[in-house]
Amino acid sequence: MPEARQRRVPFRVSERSYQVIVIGGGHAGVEAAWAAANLLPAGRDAGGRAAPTVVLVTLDASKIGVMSCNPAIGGLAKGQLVREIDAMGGLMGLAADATGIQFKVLNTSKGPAVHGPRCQSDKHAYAEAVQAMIRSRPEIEVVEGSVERLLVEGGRVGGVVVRNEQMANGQRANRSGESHGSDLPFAHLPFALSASAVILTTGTFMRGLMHTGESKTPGGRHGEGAAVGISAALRDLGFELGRLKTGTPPRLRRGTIDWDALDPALGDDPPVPFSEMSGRGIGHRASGISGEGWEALERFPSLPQVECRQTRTSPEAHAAIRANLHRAPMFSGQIESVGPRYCPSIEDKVVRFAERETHGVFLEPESLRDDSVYCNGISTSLPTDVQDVIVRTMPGCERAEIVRYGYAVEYDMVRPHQILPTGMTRRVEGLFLAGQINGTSGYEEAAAQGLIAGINAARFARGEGEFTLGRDEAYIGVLMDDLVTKTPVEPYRMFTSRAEHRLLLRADNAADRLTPVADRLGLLGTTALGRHRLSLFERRRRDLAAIGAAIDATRIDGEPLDRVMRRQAFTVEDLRRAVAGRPGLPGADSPAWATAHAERRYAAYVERQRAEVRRHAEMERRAIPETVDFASLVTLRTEARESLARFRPRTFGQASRLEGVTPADLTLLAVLVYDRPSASRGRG
Amino acid sequence: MAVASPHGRSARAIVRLSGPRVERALAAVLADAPPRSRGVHVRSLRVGDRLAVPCLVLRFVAPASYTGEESAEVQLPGNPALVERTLASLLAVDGVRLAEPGEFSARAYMNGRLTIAQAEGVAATIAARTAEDLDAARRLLGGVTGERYSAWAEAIATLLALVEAGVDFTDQEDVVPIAPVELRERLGTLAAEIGVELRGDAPAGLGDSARAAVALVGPPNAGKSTLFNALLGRRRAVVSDAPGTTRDALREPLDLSRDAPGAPSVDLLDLPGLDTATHGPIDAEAQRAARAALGTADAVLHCDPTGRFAPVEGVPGSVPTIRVRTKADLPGQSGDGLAVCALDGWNLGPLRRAIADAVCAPAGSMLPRHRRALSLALRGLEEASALAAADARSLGAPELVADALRGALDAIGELTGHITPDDIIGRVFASFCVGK
Repeated sequence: MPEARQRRVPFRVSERSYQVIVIGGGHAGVEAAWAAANLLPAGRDAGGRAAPTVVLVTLDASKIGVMSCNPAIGGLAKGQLVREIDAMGGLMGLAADATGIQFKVLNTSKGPAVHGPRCQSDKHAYAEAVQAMIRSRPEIEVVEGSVERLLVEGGRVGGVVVRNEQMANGQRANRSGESHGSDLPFAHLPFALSASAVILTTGTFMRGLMHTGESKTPGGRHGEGAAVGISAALRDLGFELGRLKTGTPPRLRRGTIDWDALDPALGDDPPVPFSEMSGRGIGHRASGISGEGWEALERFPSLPQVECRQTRTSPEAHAAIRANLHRAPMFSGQIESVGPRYCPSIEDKVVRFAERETHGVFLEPESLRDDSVYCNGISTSLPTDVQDVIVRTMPGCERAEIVRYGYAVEYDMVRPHQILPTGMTRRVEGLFLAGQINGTSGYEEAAAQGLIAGINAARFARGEGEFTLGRDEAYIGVLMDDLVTKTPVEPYRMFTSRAEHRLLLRADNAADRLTPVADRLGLLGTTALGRHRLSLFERRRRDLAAIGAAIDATRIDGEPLDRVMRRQAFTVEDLRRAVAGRPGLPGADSPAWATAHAERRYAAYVERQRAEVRRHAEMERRAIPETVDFASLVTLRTEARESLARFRPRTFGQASRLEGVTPADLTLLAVLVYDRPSASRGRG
Repeated sequence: MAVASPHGRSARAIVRLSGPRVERALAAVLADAPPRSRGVHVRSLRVGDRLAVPCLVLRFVAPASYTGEESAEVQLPGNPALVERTLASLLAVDGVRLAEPGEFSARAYMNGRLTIAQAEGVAATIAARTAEDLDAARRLLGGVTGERYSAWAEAIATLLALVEAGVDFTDQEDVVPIAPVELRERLGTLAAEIGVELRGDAPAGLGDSARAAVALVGPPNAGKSTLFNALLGRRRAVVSDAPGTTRDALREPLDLSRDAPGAPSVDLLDLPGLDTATHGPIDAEAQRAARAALGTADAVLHCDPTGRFAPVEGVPGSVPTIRVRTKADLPGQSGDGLAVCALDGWNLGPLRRAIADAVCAPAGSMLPRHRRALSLALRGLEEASALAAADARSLGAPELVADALRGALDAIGELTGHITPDDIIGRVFASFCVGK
């Protein structure tokens, strides 16, 4: 660590340096750490102990992987994201499968492209599962503390300064902080960690402020503090910050709800896991992960499945909400930042859809271990007395006890035009952002960014090139591309309609699309889990080939099966029956059946979308030199020039999606930024 | 690929192709082998199964071409229907797309075919083209036509939002997806409107059966049959000085290519004088036949020696009409219309060209870009409708319906401005109470 830096703030220099520092242990942070660990095998220190390559800094290690809001993973478009993360050797799908207490594929009455796998997990088990996975990796070290400063020199990040309150107070370090010299004389001082790449995943914690009615509490999540220093640090570095808002509903005590009187909402039977690994034969011992639920790798589902219940809000509640709008932070002006339109608070719904007398509410058990119930549909920051009315006027909840009141949280974010599609900031080399800090919402969106940032941070640390996914390859690619080409007006959530190649980007074929990519990147070969995934993928390929051959050899009433399969009414079941008895076919539980079915069902459309992809491929991937100063290109129309200067697209494809940029502007841009190899070859 | 000639009126159209797939693209439209060597080649364009139309192919071999790439210029008859069909066949080739404004020059520059000084000119030209294009787009959107296009774009976007609501928000109990029957109804209305716009502006068809029909109309004894014979260059109709000599509708192919090179042949119709005073059952029958024939006409030659051109019953307002002042040799005539004399052939050439213009570029003629956009939009709507055809209570494949609607919206968006997925999602939020 250069002396110049030490003089500015007194802090100790850690005895260790890493390759990647991940700040934040939420869904983006753990996925980033996991992906980086897959690429950066641990070395050995002098004493023969594993030397971690990745350090995860979090305020409270026991809160790693916590589900702050709804304890559910997946859903429409989000389920596709989870499958993609899983196909690339990610963590989220496995943790969800190991802890799911209700699984349901949404949209099954529609075509396979829009099926959305979803599960509700036991929220305690989920966090523990994630912690067990992180713990299982010798590459990852967990450090508690809050990040006070980013160490940046010459436009490049070199590490972070961390303050640990317990150490500062002279207490013995927490369960994971031993290696950071708590026994040294200067244990109370903040300490520095060094690495060539830093990933910031601040979630709702950056200057987090929680609202319930008129009361305001600093903090990113119920019962936890806020991260204050990092906002100022980013501002000092010149980043443009924004502020967003999200909210969560009250939780009820299950024993106080008239549960049996309400209509049940059931999961699928049998449940379908996110990961093709789940229930398919690698022992948790082989995986190296220990803890509850990990037998899911061999036996799925591993936890008992639960039912949910449905209820609804009442006209009295709506009247109470209207009467108390002046006390609602969303309407009183106490909250100025923007929340997501797709996840409005109940007060929002009552105001915007005044003609509706009632709104549906799902009561979802949060855990097998406690009797907390999530009220899906009444996210709110109204005062507690109004929340009481809303809850107690819902049928079946007349005597319900509120375990925790709903609240809204405002937090700082970094406007995402300041990052590249790799997650790295343009301003500071080696500094990556992932998750809500980029203006997204949702565990899955966060995890997807964590995966991309983790991969790229590891590659950056090793001096390797950028890795991105195209819009035609994955929802993850759509997500990253949207982030760098759009001005967010609300927390960004994935929808299938955002993907122009929706028929190609299905939940069923995520492995076909991405497992080979992950393998080439080196994400899978380094662990037992990854190698098992590759062997399952080989089996999947064989299964697909066998089913494909069987389809091509089959006719139904003289008509080729391939043609019959294009009809909407023809199901996966029909396919299995039609080819039954042909050689080499996998069992009915093989995930390959769904893909074989979907591929033929969509064959004509998929070919059209692929042709469309090829048509634009040249333009899409053509690079714009990084050195271009868009503001100086005065020949461009002002509107186009300003948009280009703000977003600084890296490819013509990105440029084409910017607001205010026309195809003609792109042609002109191509001429203006073209770096001629030789000026002498004119035709004169 | 780009159409380099002005639309409609030109005697021939020029389609320019540049890039590595030139040969493959040519193979897709030519009836014979695509030329490989530099030079001018006579070839024929494949039209449908049997028909072939002669064309010239100017072939340039990389790097000796304007763009520095493999390129070709196809010169074909300036019939919009033919041009449109050729474009469609070319665009169906994998990797072929329409060039952006100024793209050929941009490529020329990037391939080192232009000097820096020239390139600056190119940049200025493209910038000017951009401004011009935007200006044209603004004019279009400010006008009646633009309003119509925008209304369609809006309507398609609304339908797409209703379909997407049933895909992306089905976990929301408050979202009620659009019922198939309603979707079909609204698609049908939209498709019909766009269809009328396209048909109302239909260029002459191809092949015998689809030849445009041009009818001679006007008061009895206006000299229609004389003009009929004169245009055909042979005596086909019986001519006399007595009014009402022509009893039966006559239909003869008329070659216009001598006066309007590249123009297609048309069917020329000589109809009995349309006359409200009937002269008995035979006349009544003849007039009925004449009216029926008139209903199918793609263009009308309104003949009137007096130059007064009183409205003719049975001619739809949308059919292009050429006013012809016949018997221009008679003294003391004046008035509107193109004066012709069938006896000495005066002005028959200009009349043939006027006919060619009328059938090739009808009134209010659409730019090929507009025609193409609307045709694609219509195709998308029809496809969406077909996909929803069998559904009763809810859409079985909304993702495919949405795909087709997205195609339609993108096509019309080329004219009215792109409507993004974000806009669609916004519409969903505006119409439904979405949120858990």
